[in-house]
Amino acid sequence: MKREVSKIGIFIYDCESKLKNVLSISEVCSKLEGLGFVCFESPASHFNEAMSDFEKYLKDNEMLKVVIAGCDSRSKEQIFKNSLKKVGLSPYWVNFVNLNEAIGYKEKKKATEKAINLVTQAAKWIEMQEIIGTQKVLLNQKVLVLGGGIAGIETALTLTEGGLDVILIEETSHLGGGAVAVENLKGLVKSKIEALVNEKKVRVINSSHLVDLDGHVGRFTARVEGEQKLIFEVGAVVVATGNELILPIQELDESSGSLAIGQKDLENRLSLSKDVPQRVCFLIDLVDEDLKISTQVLLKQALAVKEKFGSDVICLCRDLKVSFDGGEKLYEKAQEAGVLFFKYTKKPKIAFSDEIVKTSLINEDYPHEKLVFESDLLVVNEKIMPGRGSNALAESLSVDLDSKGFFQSDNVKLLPTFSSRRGIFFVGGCRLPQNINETLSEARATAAEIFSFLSKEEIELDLTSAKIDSDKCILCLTCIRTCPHRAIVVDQEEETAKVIPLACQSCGICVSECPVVAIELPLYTNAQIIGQLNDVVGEAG
Amino acid sequence: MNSKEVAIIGGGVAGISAAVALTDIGFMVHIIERDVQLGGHATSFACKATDKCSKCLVCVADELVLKASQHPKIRVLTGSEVMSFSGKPGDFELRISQAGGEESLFKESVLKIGAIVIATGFMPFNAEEKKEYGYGKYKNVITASDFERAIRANGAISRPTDGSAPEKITFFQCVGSRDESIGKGYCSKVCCSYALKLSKLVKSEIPESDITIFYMDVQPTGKDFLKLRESCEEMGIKFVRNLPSKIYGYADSDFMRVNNLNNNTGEVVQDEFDLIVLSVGMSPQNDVKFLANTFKVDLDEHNFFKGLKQSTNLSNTPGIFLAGACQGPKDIEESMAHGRAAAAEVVKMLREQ
Ligand SMILES: Cc1cc2nc3c(=O)[nH]c(=O)nc-3n(C[C@H](O)[C@H](O)[C@H](O)COP(=O)(O)OP(=O)(O)OC[C@H]3O[C@@H](n4cnc5c(N)ncnc54)[C@H](O)[C@@H]3O)c2cc1C
Ligand code: SF4
Ligand code: SF4
Ligand code: SF4
Ligand code: SF4
Repeated sequence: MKREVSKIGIFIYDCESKLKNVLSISEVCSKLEGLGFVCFESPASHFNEAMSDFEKYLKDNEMLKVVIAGCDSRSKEQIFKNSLKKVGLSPYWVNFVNLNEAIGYKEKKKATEKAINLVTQAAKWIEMQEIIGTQKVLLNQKVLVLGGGIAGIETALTLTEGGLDVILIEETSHLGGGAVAVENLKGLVKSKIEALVNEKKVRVINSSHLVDLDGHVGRFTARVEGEQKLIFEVGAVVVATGNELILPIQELDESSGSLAIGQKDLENRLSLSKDVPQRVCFLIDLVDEDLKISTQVLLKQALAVKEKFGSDVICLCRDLKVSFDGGEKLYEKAQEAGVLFFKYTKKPKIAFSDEIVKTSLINEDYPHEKLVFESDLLVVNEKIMPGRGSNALAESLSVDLDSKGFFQSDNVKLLPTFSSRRGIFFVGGCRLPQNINETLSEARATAAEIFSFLSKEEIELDLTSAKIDSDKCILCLTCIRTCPHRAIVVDQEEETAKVIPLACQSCGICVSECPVVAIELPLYTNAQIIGQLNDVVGEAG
Repeated sequence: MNSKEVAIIGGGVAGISAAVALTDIGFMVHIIERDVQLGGHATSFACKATDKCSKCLVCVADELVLKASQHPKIRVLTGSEVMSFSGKPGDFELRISQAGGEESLFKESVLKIGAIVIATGFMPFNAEEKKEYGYGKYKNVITASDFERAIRANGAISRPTDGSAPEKITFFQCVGSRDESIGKGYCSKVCCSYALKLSKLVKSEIPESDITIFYMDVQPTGKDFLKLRESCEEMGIKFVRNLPSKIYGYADSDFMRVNNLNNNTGEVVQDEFDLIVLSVGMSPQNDVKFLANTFKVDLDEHNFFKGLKQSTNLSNTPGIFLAGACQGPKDIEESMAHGRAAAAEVVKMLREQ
């Protein structure tokens, strides 16, 4: 590759004349011209004008690489990069210098020297940098969905709308998950199941589970076991394995027997039209007080019990978590129907005797008053637990679980269903128990994300990923262990560690971990590191 | 046939998220934004980081705006509004007017598109409607939107009367929400979360300040909510489950008085504050009726656009989709996901064409 200093352009701009007052931009420029670079000083005092100068400058000069220096240029990186793209230059062959830091010097001479230093450093660095290549990568346009509950079904259905094929693996012998047992969701779930089994682009495999996943985004290899052993090549994986409900027995009394049941048990009773006794006490928030789903179920069931059986219904909760569509209305309706609500801060006492449950608590509205309720049935919310197989599944996927054992999302600023590994997503209750609308919306959003990526057979990828020098690598495996995105593998033939460009997220962790300094990150140049340091120092000072 | 083009009405976080997702799938998108700039409400709110990022996602809105305004496949039409509309799904004509031009008149144009996404967001509740709180009358009674904007603009927390740091601050929750008496029988979902984060921000900026949150119920959002609430309590922020019914001002004081119930003794106590923040909820946009008529889409009982049961992104009119807070209160995270989900619904409809 040819390296010509003269093909490296330096562009310096000012904003609100901040720089001009403290340093001599023309001196910086002439110094760099002296070193053989082509320097341009924008006279504009506003960023927008500087941008049009920049575009003109690019057109008038034949350049390969650019250094852009100015106030706060880092935050404007994207805008500059777009202009570079427009004239056909690589958006990676640019280095940004933040001259704000030079302003810190009181003397004009010192400040100018500092600026010369910074720009020269950046220019020399970029001079040494190689062109970031691109690589064509073939994508597998199939998606593996794990779990055939409502989240998995909706994701699968939406994926097919985007033209992708789906393999849906369900652990049990039937589709639908937890929602099939819920009276008011049954219909919806049934119609979605029907749509799914009629969809030619979906292959449903019941009574099976994933045993192993290899590869990386765009090209995963999944081994599935069940009645048969199967192997699939897929481009993305969606985990939608849901959760499990456990009666919080330790919060109740050993002697509770059948006097205390969970919300799910009651749901079954209601859907089987079994009788419900005359006095029912709902007590929620003993566990999982930060999940609003228990309130939603409480309101629905309290109203159903009241309307169907005319029972006396009392509801005890920490907070009425009505922040779901129609929540407040449902609460009002229940009150109008005669359901009584009391909130507690201190946990109520529960005693079981002679087929009667006694619940006592302090009335928050009248603190001296102790309330005691006798009822024939106590309904509590179950604790929502991660699915039993979550640990093993997380291990075979090399992804993280949160402190409670649910799948841990990685980037809420993009989409909460992103995992730490590219191409693997967590949808529905296996990540966070939510209600049906929220779950469906999250499933569709995730599918949109996947088909925007997998809708092409081939993509051209900028090689901005980490690079390992195979001559230096001693195969100590440190980087393989520390890469949070599972982007490094062993290349047996070459006897070196190797980065998978598609999976690498250029975080730089491996670079600092390698004991023999065999790893480099093309974009994370020293100058940029210095620039960032300067920003930090600038902010602190 | 113009089914590869989509119009999005409203360029808040939901609209932009829908737009970006659609372009990723190969669509060309027009964003019709009434305001002079993109971003919606979130771009006027404050970063609520203390020593740590609070994940309020306000900064994401700025990133989305940058992304949209740079995007080669997104055409941003600011200062523009819908006038009328005709056609059938896959083949709509949308007449819009855009402010500007040399004579700064309105110019009209017609877009030929395949689908329309309504993402017009919400309006913060107009606190003047709650006369008993004296918003507009007492200077140190402000809304959370005012508060957010002031923090963003000034970078400092001050009381309006004299610009000095407030000593006793309180948040009144559920202002303009969960209140059937004013036709707002719904929870706005976001105000508990933002009030807790704002109160933490105030406490860390002004450690000697005394903060009370008057509330009915605390609404959890997201995974780390319990931690957030506990950290507020650890910092000494007080939670009182009782909403005072009235604010009493004094003629020549920075302070105001409220009566409330002491939860331990059951007695009514008087308390004084020099900054009262009304945690206003989300009300429907002011022109929803016009849009509902124009596009023949239904509104729900509170005048948010009504989503269908099988998907809240679908309106009752084929080809007209819904995204974000215009369909009902949502925080930024949910609005963004809802926007992307709307993109998926658009693809589905146009495939079926
Ligand atoms: C005080 C307050 C604080 C908040 N703080 C947070 C927080 O910290 N974190 C969080 O997650 N959420 C917060 N929220 C919620 C957050 O503001 C919303 O989730 C988010 O703004 C919703 O995005 P949206 O795109 O749906 O609507 P908006 O932000 O309302 O955007 C709608 C856009 O559509 C445009 N528009 C409207 N009508 C038309 C029309 N007819 N034609 C053309 N354009 C139109 C508007 O100009 C606007 O740009 C807060 C809300 C309030 C009230
Ligand atoms: S840069 Fe980060 S993601 Fe890429 S290989 Fe190194 S550690 Fe993994
Ligand atoms: S850490 Fe360095 S030496 Fe060790 S395997 Fe990775 S590249 Fe090779
Ligand atoms: S705006 Fe919110 S999400 Fe962004 S950095 Fe600040 S606290 Fe964090
Ligand atoms: S989120 Fe909190 S403050 Fe807002 S309406 Fe709901 S309960 Fe009231």
